[in-house]
Amino acid sequence: MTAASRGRASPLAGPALSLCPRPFAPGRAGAALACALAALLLSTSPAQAADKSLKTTLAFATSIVGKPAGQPLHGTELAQRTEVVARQVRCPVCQGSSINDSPSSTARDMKAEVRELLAAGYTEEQTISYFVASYGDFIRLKPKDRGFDALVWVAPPLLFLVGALLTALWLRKRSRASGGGAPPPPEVPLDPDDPALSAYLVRVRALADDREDPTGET
Amino acid sequence: MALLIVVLASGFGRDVLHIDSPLVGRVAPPFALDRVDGKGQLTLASLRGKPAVVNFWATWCQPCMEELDVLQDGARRAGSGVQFVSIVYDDEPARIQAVLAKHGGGAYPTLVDKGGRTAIAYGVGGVPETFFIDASGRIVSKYPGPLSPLMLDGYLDQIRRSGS
Repeated sequence: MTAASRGRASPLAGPALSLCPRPFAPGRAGAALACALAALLLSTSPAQAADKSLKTTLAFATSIVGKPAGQPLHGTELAQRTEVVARQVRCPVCQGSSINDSPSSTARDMKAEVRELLAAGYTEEQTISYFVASYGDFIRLKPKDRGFDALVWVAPPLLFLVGALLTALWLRKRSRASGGGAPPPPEVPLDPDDPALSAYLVRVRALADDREDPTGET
Repeated sequence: MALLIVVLASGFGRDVLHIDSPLVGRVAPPFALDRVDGKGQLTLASLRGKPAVVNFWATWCQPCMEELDVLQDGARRAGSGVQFVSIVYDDEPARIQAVLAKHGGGAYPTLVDKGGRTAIAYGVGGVPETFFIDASGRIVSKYPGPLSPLMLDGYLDQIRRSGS
């Protein structure tokens, strides 16, 4: 049943009833019975069946999420809000898409119900909760921001901060280990006639001689 | 790193497409649908008092065709102790009747869910899906996929014991 078909009324419902003869007139009982049956059949015309079906949905919705808590929507606002809500409901068939984007008939039917619920005055959260009652939280494309689901929102920035802190600490530790922490001593020009240097020069020459002749024969 | 591995490994062995139904343990959503054989309407309320099996299927679903024979046979064996009902989703009455005739249908009523409202109320994400309801009207189990005879017998035992 499409949204378009819901608006069409049966052309026979009104005139047929007025043509029914009075039931107790002699010789007309058969015709009266036929008219009564026709009236009964006409009372379940497609438009009326659709209306009954809509009432069933709304009654069920009330039992799940309570009475409508918002204002009934219509026209452009209804169309826009329908898209906004439909983008937040996952298609149970094409699970990576919303019911607004999925081509499946299930998605189409669910989007039609979103429209009906918003038109009846249910709020965005009530409408989504209606589907959650049947499908579970899985049907939300946008996780809740409370309870266990809040972890989805909190964990990424928290993990980023922890990672940045660990990286900073590691870099700091690394630069300390390589001695890069203390500034280098200022360069002082060496004077070869400086008597303080002579003792070091003797040692260096002795070490160099030992390297050249480790046996000490020369 | 160890925590990350544990979290990721917890997904092994699980079917990522399986969705736990929040309806299990709750009263089954009501419905009032037309029978495909034209014999009026059938409501969930009329099934109250006996365990019931509600199966969602469609003629364009091949696993549903295989399951149809299992359910027809199961319904005949269960007799009047368990009520079977099938609800056809997103389909045409003429095609449904042709399939039922081919599979010797008629063991239990087949209903047409125009607009998919009942399927949505039951949280159906694909077909076949079968709901097992006890005599008090509470959904005891939901099985997504085609049932084997052994699985069907197991679920029937479950709903016979529950709610009694």
